[in-house]
Amino acid sequence: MARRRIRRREVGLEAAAHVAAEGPDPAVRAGLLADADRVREALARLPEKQRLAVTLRVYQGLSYKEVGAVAGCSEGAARVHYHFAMKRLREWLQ
Amino acid sequence: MSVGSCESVRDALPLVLAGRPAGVPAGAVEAHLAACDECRAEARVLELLRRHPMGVPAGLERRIAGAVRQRAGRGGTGVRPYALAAGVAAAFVAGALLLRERPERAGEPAAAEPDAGPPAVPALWPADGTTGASAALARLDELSVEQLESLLAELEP
Repeated sequence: MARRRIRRREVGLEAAAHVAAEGPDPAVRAGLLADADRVREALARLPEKQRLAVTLRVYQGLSYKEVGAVAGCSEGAARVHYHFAMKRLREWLQ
Repeated sequence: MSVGSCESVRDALPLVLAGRPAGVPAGAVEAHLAACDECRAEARVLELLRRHPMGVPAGLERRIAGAVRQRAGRGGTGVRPYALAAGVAAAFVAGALLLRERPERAGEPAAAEPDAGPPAVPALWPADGTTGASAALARLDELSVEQLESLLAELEP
């Protein structure tokens, strides 16, 4: 019984050590959180159609024609919205 | 717009990263990224965005699904068959980015574009609109924010 308890404690400690070793370094985690905030802020700063064009292209992989169909604009306008947005995002996120 | 121009590569990048067919040979995108600082910078921003997915506005999912279904109905393929390709495509772009992390020699411009014909900032569309607008559309990455704004005003009166 006692041996089993000791064994269990050892397993627990091993697991904790494993988590500590595998878990992200606080600085890395802070960096990741900061990146997420920067991305969210940058996207929020974009005008709606530009934000939509970037979101649909980058996260959904839609073509300009498809973006136009979803956003209710022409294929050409979808392309301009996207390029416009990327120009700004490169300024803000680089 | 030639294959491997900044314009075509930037148009293709989000689709390549998403594992969708982008209408440009994968090797051309990779080769271009290896030689072009500006497009590599754009690819880095795209990767940063993709690491932090943001949702689309509520209610748009159905319209997106509709747009994708239309594509499938046109004889193309839906998104699903590309899921496998996504990892491969993203990996080669990421690889191209990593390969290019070594510092550039200062003051040396990126490899010259093969199609260095057009002027740096193209004259925008003439008074009649249409033809000029399509010419401007072909070289969007060379336009300033102001030019993009007036182009948008023309496309969406």
